[in-house]
Amino acid sequence: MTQEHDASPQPVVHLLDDDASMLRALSRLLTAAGYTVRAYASASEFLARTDHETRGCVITDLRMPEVDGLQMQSSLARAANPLPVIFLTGHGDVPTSVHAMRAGAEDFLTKPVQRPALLAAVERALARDAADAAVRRRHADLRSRWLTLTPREREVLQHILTGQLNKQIAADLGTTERTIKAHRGSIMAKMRVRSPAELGRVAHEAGLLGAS
Amino acid sequence: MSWITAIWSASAGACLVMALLHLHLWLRDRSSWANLCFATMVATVMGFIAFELISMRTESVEIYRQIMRWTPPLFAVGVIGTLGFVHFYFGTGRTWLLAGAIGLRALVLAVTPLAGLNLHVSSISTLASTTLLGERVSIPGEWAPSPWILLAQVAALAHLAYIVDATARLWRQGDAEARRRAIIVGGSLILFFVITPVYSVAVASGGLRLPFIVSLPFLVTLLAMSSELSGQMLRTISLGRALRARERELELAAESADLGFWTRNVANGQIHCSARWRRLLGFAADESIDLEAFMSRLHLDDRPGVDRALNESARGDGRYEMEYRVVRPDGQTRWIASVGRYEFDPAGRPLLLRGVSLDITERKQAALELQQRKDEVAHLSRVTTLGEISGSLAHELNQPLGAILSNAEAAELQLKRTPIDLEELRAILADIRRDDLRASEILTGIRDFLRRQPAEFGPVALPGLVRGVARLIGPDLASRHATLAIEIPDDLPEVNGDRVQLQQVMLNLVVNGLDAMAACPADRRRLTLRAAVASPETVTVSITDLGAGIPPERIGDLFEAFRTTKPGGLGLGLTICRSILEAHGGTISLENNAGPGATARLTLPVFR
Repeated sequence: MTQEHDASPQPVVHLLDDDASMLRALSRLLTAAGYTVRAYASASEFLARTDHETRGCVITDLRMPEVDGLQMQSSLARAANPLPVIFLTGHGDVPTSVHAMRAGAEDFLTKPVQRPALLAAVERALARDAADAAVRRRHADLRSRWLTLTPREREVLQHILTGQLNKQIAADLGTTERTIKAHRGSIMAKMRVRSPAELGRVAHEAGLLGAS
Repeated sequence: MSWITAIWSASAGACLVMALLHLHLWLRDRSSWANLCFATMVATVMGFIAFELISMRTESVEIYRQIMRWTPPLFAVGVIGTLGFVHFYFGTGRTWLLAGAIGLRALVLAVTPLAGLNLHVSSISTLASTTLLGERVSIPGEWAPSPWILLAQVAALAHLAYIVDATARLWRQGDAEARRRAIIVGGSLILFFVITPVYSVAVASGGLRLPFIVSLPFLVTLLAMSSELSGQMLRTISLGRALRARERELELAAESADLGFWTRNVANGQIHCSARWRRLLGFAADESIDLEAFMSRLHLDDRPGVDRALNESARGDGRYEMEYRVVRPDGQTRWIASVGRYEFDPAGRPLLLRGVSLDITERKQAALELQQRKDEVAHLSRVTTLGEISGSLAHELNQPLGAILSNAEAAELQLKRTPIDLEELRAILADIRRDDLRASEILTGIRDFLRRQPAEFGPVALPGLVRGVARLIGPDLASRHATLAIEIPDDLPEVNGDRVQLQQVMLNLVVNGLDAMAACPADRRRLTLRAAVASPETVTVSITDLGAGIPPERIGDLFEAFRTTKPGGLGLGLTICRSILEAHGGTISLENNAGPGATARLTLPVFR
C-alpha cells in the first residue's frame, strides 16, 4: 500500500496468536495481500515492541496463555498510540464479543475467517487508524498553537468563545476596547484563523473551551 | 450224642465261618492285614480242633506222636498270626518286642527236633484214657516230659510281653474306642497267653489228667475279638447308611440349588458327573464325557481361560474357580460357574479334580444389563462433560481449520504472482497437511470419547491418556488463566482399564478442579495431576487444586447422585466417576488439603 501516513509510509498489521501454525498462515495471507506484517506468539511480546510511532492495526486471538486478547486490548488502549484491534477467535461467546466491542474493538471475527471478511476488517481498521491519527495530529497542532497564547490572550479567548463583544470583554476585564481588539488580532494570528466563526470551530474541535 | 464231637465240630464250623469272612474282607481290601492275620489265627484254631479231635479219638500211639510233632509248627503259625494281628490292629506295639517274640518262636521251632516230640513232651510210649464230658478220650499214658519246657515258657512270656505292652500303650491313648479295644482284644489275648502255658505245664507235668486242649480257650479269645471286630463292621454299616442318607440330603440340596457335581480323573481325563451337570452342559444321559468333550462344549472365547485356570490350579493350591459360557448342542448359550478342588497323591501329582457347577445365566444377564445401564449413563455424562467444554473444543478445532483456510487463500494469491514462489507454496501445502491431520486427530479424540460402546479393559498408559485430557481442556485452561502441571514418572506401569472411561474420570476431575478455582486470583489457579506407584498392584493418581476446598459438611455426600456444590451442576459427575472406578477395581476419594484447595485421589490396578 502506498497510502500517505505521517510517521511511516507503510502501516503494519500486528498479528498475535499462540498457535504457531495459525500465526504463519495469517502472516502469509496478509503478506501476499500486500501488507507489512509483524507476528507475535504472545500478547506480552507485542506490548513490549518498540515501534510505537508506526501506524497500523492489531489482529489478535482471544484465548492466549498469560495475557489474553481482552487484557492486551485494555493495555493497548492506555498506550500513547492505541491501534485499532480486530479480534480473531476460535470460539467467541456473545458476552465476550460485546465486552470487546464496547472496549473499542474494530471487529470481532471467528476462525476460520474468509479472506474478504478479514481484508475488509483490516482495511477498515487501517482507515480508522489513519483517521484517528489525523485527528490526533490536528489536536496536537491546535494545542501547540494554543500554547503560544499568553495567559491574558487565553483569558480574552474564553470571553470571545462565549460570544461577548469587545466592549463587554473590556468592561469585564477592566481595560479598554482597543486593547481587547489588539489581543483578538494576536489570537487570530497565533491560532491561524481568519474569522471569529473559524476560531470558534477550531477551539471546539480542540476541546479548548474552558481550558486555561 | 457225643458232646465232644458236637462241641468241637460246632467250634470248627464257627471257625470256618470266621476264617472265610476275614479272608474275604482281606481280599476285598488288600491293605487290611489285620483281617488276614485274624483269618490265619482262626485257621490255626481249626487245625487244633482237628488235632485235638483226632488225638482224643485215636487208639494208636503212633498217630498221637505224629500229632504231637505237628503241634509246634501249627502253634507257631497261630502265634505269628496273633502277633501280626496285634501289630496291625493296635498299631501301638514295639517293633523290637515283636521281633524278639517271633525270634523266640522260631528258636522254639528250631530246637523242637532236639526236644523230641515237642517242647512239653519228648516221647510217648503208651496211651491211657480218661473221661471227658462223659466220654472216653485218649491221653498220653507213659511219657517223658521235655527238658526244653522252660524255653517254651520264655517264648510264651515274650509273646505276652509284646501283647501287654501294645495293649497298655493303646490304653494310654485315652479315647473310649481305643480303651475298649485294649480291654476286649488285648485282655482276651493276654488271658489266653496266661492260661495256655499254665494249662500246658499242668498237663505236661502230669498234674492234670486231661488232653492238651488249646483250641477252646483260643476260640473263646477269638470270639471275644470277633465280637469287637464285628462291632466295628456294624459301625461301618451304620456309617454307610448315614453316608447314603447324607448323600441323599446332598442330592436334594444340589437339586434345589441347581448344582451339578463332577469329578475328573486327571490321568485319563474321564469325567464322572451327576445328571444335573449333564443337563447343564447338554450331554446325553449315557454319553461318556472326557476333558475334550467338555472343552468342546465351551464358548470359543472361554476355552483358553478355562484351560489356563485348570492348569494353574493343578500347579498351585489346587483350588479351581471359573465362570464360562457353554454352547449347548441346541444352540443355547448358558453361563456356568464352577468351583473345584484338586486331590493330589503323596508326591504332589494331581489325581483328580472334584467340583460343582451352577447355572448363573440369569445373574450374569442382570449384571450385563446393569453394566449396560452404567455404560449408558457414563456415555451421557461424557456428552455432558464435552458439552461443558464445547467452547474449548470449538476453539481447538477452529484453530487448524482457520489456519488451513488462510493458508489456502494465501496460496491462491501466490498463484496470481509471477514468478510463482514454489518454495512458499510447498511450505503452505505442508502446513495445510499438518493442520488437517491435527484437526482430524481432534475429531478422532472426540469421537472416541463420545463413542457409545461397552467398557473394554486392557493396558492403558497413563502419560498418553493424561496428554489427551490436557489437549481437550487446554484452551479452557488458557481462557481461565489456569495451568495444569503433570507429574508422571517415566517408569509408571500401565494400568488395567477402559481408556475412554478413565479419560472421562480425569477430565471430569480436572474440570471440577478448574471450577473450584474460578474465584481464586489468577496466580493461584494451578492444578497438579500426579501419578505414582502405590504398591506392585496399584497406581495412584491425584488431582490437586488450590481452590476453595470442599465444605466439611459436604465431603461425605459428594459421591451421592444429584449432590453438587456447583450452581447449575447436575451432580452426577463424581457419582459416575466412582461407578467407573469401582468397575475398574479401583477407588476414588476426595479430601481437603492442609493448605488451600482439595485433592481427588484415585487408585487403579496395574495391568498384568
